[in-house]
Amino acid sequence: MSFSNLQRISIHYDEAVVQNMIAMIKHAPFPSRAPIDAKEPWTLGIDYDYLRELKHKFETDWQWARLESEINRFDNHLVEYSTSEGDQLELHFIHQRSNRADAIPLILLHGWPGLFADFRKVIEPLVNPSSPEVPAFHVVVPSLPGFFKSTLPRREGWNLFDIAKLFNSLMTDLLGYKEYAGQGGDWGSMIARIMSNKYPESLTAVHFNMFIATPSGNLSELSESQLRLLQRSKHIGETGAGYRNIQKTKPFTIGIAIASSPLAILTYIGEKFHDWSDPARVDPQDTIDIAALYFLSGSFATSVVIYSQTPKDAHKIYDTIDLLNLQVKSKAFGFSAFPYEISVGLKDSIAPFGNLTFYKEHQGGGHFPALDSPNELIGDLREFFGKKLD
Amino acid sequence: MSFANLRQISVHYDENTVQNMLSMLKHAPIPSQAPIDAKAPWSLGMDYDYLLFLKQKFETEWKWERVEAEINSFNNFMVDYTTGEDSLQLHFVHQKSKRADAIPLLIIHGWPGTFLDFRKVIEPLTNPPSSDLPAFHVVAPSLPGYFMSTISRRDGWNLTDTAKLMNGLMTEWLGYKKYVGQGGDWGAIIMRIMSSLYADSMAAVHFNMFRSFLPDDTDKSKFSKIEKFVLARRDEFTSTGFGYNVIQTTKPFTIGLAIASSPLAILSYIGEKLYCWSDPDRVDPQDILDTVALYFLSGCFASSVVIYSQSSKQRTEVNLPPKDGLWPVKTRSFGFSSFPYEVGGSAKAPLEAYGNLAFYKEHEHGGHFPALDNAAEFVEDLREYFGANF
Repeated sequence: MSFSNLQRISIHYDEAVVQNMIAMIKHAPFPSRAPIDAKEPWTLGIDYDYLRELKHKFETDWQWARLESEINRFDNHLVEYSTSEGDQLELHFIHQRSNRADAIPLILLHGWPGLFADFRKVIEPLVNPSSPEVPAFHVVVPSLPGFFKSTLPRREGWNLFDIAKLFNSLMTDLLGYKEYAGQGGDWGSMIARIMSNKYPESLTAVHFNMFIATPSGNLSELSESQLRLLQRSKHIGETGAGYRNIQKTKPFTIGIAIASSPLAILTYIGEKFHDWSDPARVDPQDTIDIAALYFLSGSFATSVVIYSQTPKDAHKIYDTIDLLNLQVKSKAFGFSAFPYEISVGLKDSIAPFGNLTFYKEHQGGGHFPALDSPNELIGDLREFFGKKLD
Repeated sequence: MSFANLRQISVHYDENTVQNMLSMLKHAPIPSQAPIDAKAPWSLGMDYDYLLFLKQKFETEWKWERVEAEINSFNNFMVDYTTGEDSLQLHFVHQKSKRADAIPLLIIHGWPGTFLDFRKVIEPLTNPPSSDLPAFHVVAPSLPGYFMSTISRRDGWNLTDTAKLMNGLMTEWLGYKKYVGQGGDWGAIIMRIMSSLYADSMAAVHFNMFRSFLPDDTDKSKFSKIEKFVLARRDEFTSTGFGYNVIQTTKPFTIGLAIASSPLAILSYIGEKLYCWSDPDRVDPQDILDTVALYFLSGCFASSVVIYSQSSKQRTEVNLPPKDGLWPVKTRSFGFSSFPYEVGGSAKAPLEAYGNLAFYKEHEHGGHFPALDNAAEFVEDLREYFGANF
């Protein structure tokens, strides 16, 4: 992997482009009521009233200028890179350095339908804690290839191992962090897991808020909270996995279709943001911000390709390497259990995969903890990484 | 159950409405190339080049006037239907033959089809070129939730309710005490229910889709070329073509409202099915565009997918082994036409366990919408089977 042409960039979209998006939302066909009267809200997909409010907020309250300045408070970069397979690609990432000499380099990895901006509430506190007693971090937040401004190779076959290699190179080669820490959820958690398996001498401490492990052990002896995690995961699997099937098998169909309409993006990912988050904490503005970034960057269609590039079984990366069996070889391995996470990580089920030295359950929060529970996530990262890299 | 307020209608959409659709299509974001280069066309969903071709044709050549004239060349009706908990309005074509011996035929479409799937067969069926050939009074309804047929607000309306409505339409409202039925897709599943519940009114039933149960250890070596082809299509459908079904079953509001918001979204999402489920040598792009236009102009896309969430139980039931006996075909006989590109087809032998199979014919051409891509042979089969079995 070789990097070239590193540039600092500002993220900017013209007013005309933003207004066009808003106009499209305003004029998109939208029924005056739900298709039918669902017996219970959210049981047939996105709740109509919730969507109508999101749409209304997008059209009236929401301002791109606020989001643009928020994103540009951070140091955004674009770098070109080429791989040994001959791909010529671009990677977008935030690189926020701390003033602290003892700051820990930390890469934060998003997933779908998230974006780098998922982490915008945690970057500053992590980089600049208010007390010298508390660990500080140099924070790196890349956009996964296919998301926002990070490009995808044209060829089929680019997969999570390639991304893991890319991100490790980003940290060690481009940015010069020979040892670093990592954190991931959703696709980010699988990438972090591969990195912890392939590059443990570099990724020395790794934290997850999602960790796929088949529930094992005596499930009848689970604590109430662990049992709730299990039931939640089962429920999501039974009622919320359609997106994964269609994105895995027909990414072009769904990708191009949804990308064609900001209301389609708002609806499609709005349902996931609500269903996968803590309903008491999910902020509609976060959902609208992410929908806007997908639409403005034109990256929705490429964002779903990742689902099709893992072989038939979504958890197998290659036929011979099963992600479910991938060991975490980093010296330290930590997990934060948020109750509304969609994929269960029971303590006894994930502990066999590495040196699990940190497992904390929370009372609230979901699949996007950096958005709906930033203080808890920050607290966990400080506690886990601060301890481990002394 | 009551029918009231029958009125003959003309179908009409304003020039402005049609131009608005085309304008939305023209201005919708579409990537400048496929998200990535698929190893084989259609292997990752909608083929990008074909989508561009369809879009271009839609914007430049396609004319609503032709479709409107064709629809209005038939007799279109609306009727109000009320029963216990439900009320809806039903649209249907009722084309009477001049022949005194004409056979009343109820013919039902599925998803993503419309009543207009039968446009090429209505006239030949009602007006055969020879008095030796059977003639039919054709009744082609729009399923509840499709085109101008509204949907019950009730979360729980299922195929038994639809079957009751359709049988009532034929026997009570239109006075056809004995009639025959034909169906594909949801139409086929509804016909399974009707042929089980209303065999006293339904003299004969014909299917072009019938997902007969096939034990895993079936020796397929003795199957005909078409049987093997059809079964391979079925397997492919189950493994890589089923995502739409899962998402529509579990999150109909999400996918329904999202896709309905953009004509390009509808074109991509159902265009892929209309192409991939058809005979690639016979599929007419104009039929695809006409169908897409009907879905968008009538605003029915979101209600069209509700059936998946309401009727998945019955859909599963009709696919059970016949010995489990949930929906036996109780009409005196039934017929099946095997079109090679069908996605839910059957070999001959497994059909015989469901009822009295009096007609089975294999074809070299045609797919899931045979009334569109092999109209001539579809008509021949109905004449042959119903002519001998009414």
